[in-house]
Amino acid sequence: MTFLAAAFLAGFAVLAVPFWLHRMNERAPAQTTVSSLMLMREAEEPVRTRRTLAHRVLLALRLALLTLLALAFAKPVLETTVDAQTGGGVAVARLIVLDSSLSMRRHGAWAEALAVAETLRGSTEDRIVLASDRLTFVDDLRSVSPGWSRLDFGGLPGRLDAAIAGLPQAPGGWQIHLISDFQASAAAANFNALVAGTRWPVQLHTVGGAADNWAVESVVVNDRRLEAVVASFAGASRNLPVTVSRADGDQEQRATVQVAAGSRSGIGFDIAAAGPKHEAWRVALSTDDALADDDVGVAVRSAADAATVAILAPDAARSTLAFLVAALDASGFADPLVLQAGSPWPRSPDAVILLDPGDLAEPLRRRVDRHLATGGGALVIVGPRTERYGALPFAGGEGTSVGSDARPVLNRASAAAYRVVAADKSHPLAQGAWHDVEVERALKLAATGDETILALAAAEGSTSNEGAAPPLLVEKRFGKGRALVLLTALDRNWSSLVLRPAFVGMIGNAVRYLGQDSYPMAYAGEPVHAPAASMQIFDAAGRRVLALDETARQPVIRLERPGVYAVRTPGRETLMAVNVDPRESDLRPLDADLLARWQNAAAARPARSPNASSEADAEVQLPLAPWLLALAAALLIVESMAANMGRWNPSPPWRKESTA
Amino acid sequence: MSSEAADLPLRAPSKLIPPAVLARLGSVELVARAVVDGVLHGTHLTDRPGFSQEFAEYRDYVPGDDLRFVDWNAYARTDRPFLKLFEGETNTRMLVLVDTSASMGVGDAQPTKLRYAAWLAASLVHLAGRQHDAAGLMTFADSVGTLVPPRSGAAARQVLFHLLDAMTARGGTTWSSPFGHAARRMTKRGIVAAVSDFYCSAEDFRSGLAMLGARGHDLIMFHVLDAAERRPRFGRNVTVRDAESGRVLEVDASDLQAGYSRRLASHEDTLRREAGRVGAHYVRLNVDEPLDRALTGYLRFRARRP
Repeated sequence: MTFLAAAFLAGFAVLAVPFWLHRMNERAPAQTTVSSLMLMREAEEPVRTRRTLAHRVLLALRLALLTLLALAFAKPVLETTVDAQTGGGVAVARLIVLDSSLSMRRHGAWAEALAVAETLRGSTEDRIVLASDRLTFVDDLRSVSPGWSRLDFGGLPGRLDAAIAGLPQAPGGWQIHLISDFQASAAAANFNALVAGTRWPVQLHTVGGAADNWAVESVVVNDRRLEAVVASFAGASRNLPVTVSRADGDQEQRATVQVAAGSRSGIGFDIAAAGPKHEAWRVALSTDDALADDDVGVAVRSAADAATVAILAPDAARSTLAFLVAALDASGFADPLVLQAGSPWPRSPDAVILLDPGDLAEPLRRRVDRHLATGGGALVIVGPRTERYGALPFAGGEGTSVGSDARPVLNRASAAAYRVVAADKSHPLAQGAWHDVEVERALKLAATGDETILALAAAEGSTSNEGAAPPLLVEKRFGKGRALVLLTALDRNWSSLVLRPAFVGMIGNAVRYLGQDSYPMAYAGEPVHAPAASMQIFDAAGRRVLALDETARQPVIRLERPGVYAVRTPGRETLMAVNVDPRESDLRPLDADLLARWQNAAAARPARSPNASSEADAEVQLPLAPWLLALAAALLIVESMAANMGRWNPSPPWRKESTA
Repeated sequence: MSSEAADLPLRAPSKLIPPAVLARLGSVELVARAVVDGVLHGTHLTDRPGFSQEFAEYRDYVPGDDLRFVDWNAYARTDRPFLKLFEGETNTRMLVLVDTSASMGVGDAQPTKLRYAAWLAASLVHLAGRQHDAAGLMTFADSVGTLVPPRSGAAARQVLFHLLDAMTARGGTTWSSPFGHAARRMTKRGIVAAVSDFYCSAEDFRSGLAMLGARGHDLIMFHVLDAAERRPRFGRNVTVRDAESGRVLEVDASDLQAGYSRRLASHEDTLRREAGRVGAHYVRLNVDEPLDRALTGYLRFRARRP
């Protein structure tokens, strides 16, 4: 027996109270002097004996009552080994976990999994849960099918344990049965992540098995070129017909790609120049492989004049302006509009970039304010002028001063080096190779955890004593609009950002993000940061899959099925490509030895009789506190009855006699 | 001879003083005077009953009266027997025996049995003085305490009053020795009045009475009890201690309520029966009752003596 709250055993100290009280009461009873005992008779049962006996019985009852209460609060649990099949007298509930990721859509795997689940399902206590990017409890197996998202076994035990915690308590505990094809690509690099996190034994059931598969791994559409990568997860080379077309079926092209066994091959197509609208392109393989859903990939090409980018740059920042213009050009946003003093404000710019703005002239400040107030976006890149000014250069920046409360941080910048970490990995601007960016100087802006996209962390060997990671890239809302604030300058004295590949990707993604342009490709089921405060999403058939209120409530959206989606925001409609996760296409199972090790470790931990078969027995903890409390309540009643036993007769014999 | 109050020709004792009021009086003499005056006034009994040649009054005949003193002429006229009472000098001797054992002082009641006995004894002494009788006093417990032979005169009575005032309850109770001592000291016939709670065996009581009765004395036994003795009220089992022997006993509360009353009634019957055997008069008294019943009983008893 184990006590979960052993500190409450200190409650045994209160046992001294009834001891003391009874000792006080057990003093010699008071004597009454009478004239003579001649007419009196000794009691047949000596009073003192009876009183002593009653006192001791009451004392025992009270001590037992307090003991039970102290034990109950200490939360004792009885560890016992029960038979998982028969329950050993105690029912063991089964949590049947069905892998519902994309790989289970292969031929025959799901039917096999259902058959295993049906054989395992026994008592009404058993529960079935579908596991992919999330856990979903289901009651009827006939109405469910695998999805298109990914399942990662790393951390799955912990997720299952949390799910079990939300279920009604099973008297005999839980036995987890995991039914999966156990893809090697879904296994965690760390073996401990496969087994740690749950206290219930796990039984593995393998379905499916190895199968040849080919998949469209990625599709990239540029101005006049479409590039696709075809991956082989088969044991032999093969020539595969590839069809490329716009989503509406126009401009279809065919080619053949030769893919070696277990390798990847790229294939490119020249396509027509971008038109005035966003276009979705589709790449399809013609195979008879095990998994058909990954034989198609989609991508979205932005319209030719998708975004109007305006840059506000002071003369002093002309040297860094060149970096910015080059990055925009590389990202497909050629010929940005650089605003000079007195230049007319462009009509409805998609994105405004403020390069080291400092203190803006009043007309420009009003322009920027109006731009943000009407839902526009701005990218602010700080610099020496902004550092001197100490605040964001628009009205919304009041109270969110830059540098005003961070001057100590500026001192820090010269003494320490920082690396960049992604604080919000779902944000499109967090994508990219940020790990090789070094920052030596940055301003500090107060931001919440939700507003921070990129943060700074002390580089190896750095002497920084900064407690929490200061932000590097922050997104703040101003009215209907929003501003991305990069807190380091495009200056090699500040950071190495302009020298790294992440810079071009960040600028391109920022313009797309602020302009609510087409979105980066997303994987099915993957959380994607919603760029707009509210929007509607429709699938290729025109069915609405996410309503305005759904996207308004949550900043992250998930699209379960692959395909091309239309994203509608007020006054704009863009496209979004969703493909399956290519890791699900690799159908090769886990190595048999690794699977056996996993099975042994999961079945044996944490409670398993060493002598029992791994499948038959499970050690469970039976909480004893409810029983102790019930017993204490019964004792309380008995104690009350015993304590009042001498007072039950309301009419003593002498009173009856006198009445008669 | 019946000793119950119902036998006595009492009228409404309008001026009788309850014991609780008497307890405020300082000395037993004052109490005795107040009580005796009240009793004589309320009952119309004479304090000088006797059988001399000086006619005093008539009274109804009651069985047991000496037929020699029945006025047959009056009987012939009225067809009712009347007894002729005469005033005259008497010289009867009276010895009052007062039990001063520890049991007489037990209890929270006011007055205690001992105090009540002192008042009664003083009243008897005072009454004896008014009747020109010689009065004496003997206190006793497990042995004779004080013995003042019967004497006449106010000075002798004052001595008795002082002795009665000074009595304290102490010691056990023995009947044979004190009664034998009294019998030996009181050689002439007279009246012996004993005041006690009579916690004694029937044999002891009988032997003591027999010693006095054998001398031809007229005996009157006043049995004094308090309310707690008549009806003990204990709500639960108790441990009790005997005031005289110190013996401790655990008693059952239910037995105290039922069996005790039965045994007390039986004990009183025994005392009354044993007293009757030797011609003694038995009067049971409660300390919360006025003394009139005791005194009228005595007066009735005294009136039968020549």
